[in-house]
Amino acid sequence: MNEVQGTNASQASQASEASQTSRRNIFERILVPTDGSEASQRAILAGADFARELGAEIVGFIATPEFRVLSANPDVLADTPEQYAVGSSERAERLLADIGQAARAAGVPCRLEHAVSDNPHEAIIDAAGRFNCDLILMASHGRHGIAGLLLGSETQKVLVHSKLPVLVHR
Amino acid sequence: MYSYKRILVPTDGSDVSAFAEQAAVDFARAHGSEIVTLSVAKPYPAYAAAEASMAVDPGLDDQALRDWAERNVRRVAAAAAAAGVPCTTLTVFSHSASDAILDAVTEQQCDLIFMGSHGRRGLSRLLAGSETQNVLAYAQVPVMVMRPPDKSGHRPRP
Amino acid sequence: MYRRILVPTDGTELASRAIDLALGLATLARGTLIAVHAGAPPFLLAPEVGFGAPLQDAWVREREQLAHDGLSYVRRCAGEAGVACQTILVRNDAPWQAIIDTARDQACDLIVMASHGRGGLARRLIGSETAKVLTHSAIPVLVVR
Repeated sequence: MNEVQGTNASQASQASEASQTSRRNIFERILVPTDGSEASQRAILAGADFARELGAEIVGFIATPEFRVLSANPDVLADTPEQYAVGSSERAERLLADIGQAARAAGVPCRLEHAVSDNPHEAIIDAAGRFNCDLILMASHGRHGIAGLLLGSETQKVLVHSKLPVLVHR
Repeated sequence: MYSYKRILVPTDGSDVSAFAEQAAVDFARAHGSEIVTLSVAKPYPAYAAAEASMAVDPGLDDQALRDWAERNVRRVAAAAAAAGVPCTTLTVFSHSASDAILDAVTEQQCDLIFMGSHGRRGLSRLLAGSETQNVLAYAQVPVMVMRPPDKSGHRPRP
Repeated sequence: MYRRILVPTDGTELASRAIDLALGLATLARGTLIAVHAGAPPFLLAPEVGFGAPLQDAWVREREQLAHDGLSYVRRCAGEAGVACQTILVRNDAPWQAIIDTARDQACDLIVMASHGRGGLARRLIGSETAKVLTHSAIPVLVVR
């Protein structure tokens, strides 16, 4: 059983005309991490739109794993640490460029940052602090896409450890 | 007819609390229940030692808080003893009285809470951080909120 | 961008930050705030007690009042901010489900909620209701501490 009550919308909108002149910035700098997944792509587009509405800036961010001598990834085994670093960096730059592009299209100021870390959630929270962000906007699920995972593991960890608000985008 | 076996009675030493404590003791006597009384002391925040011009001895403050909490639960214990009601006393340090109360309900296997409320119902000054509200919103057992009569002697209407 | 914003409230100050943020976003977008109180009916928590017991009745009344007071608070804040507001009270033994259903029924485009309720020993790193909303929501969820 539900009870619903409303307020007079026309009265409210008249009052809101007055409040528009004293708009404060709710969020000023949004950290938008990406892992290259489709879900991240959607979150990036939503983030750019949201930043535009808010008059906020974006900090695009990606964390790439450390080089490992032993790895299940055959490409990594073939690399020297230097080759891995270059390949990994190139991929990261491409993915960050997507964020830069979305921000430009929305007319939103943007900086792009990259960190090497085996713990993406730690790197994300650290980056949000370093760059004075006041919001983290990320996808609910990431690249790993483990079947049946209720919420992406990195997203979960960011939610648990972040002191900042986190906007979880589908 | 269900009989409540262990009643949690949080106390903060106030007059409002005293009213609820006496009501709880009367209820317990009538229903053959036991009481568990709890007083929660909030630790002082830590001060940056370098900034303090007068060093505050944290040990001294802790003791004063402990004594305060002990006095509160002893007041309840005395009322319970006078009524022949078995009573356990607990004192706890916590930044959140409502968290400590909710924990105690589970740990002590209480099936009812009697507590006072400093707020008046119907005031829209809500969300001011009332411990009673927090307990009411999350307790898995019934909460009896006892408001003392106002100065005119009238009991507040439900 | 987000014009129909859902704010679950538990009637306590835990919802304060979420309410403030939601109001700010609704003001910006000239949108509507929808506040929902989704509480488990108390009598479901103590099934062995007869409904008629006066103590149970008093408890139920207190909880209902808490829910109404919480919604009144949001309505008052929205009025002061000049934001259109709807308040909804749902009785459901799965609050997270009520939140998801309300978001759908009210065509909301964003949920703003606190990371935690309270729960004594059952406290988690993220509140269990918040976690379930995050898992099942079809729309974005803004989680605030």
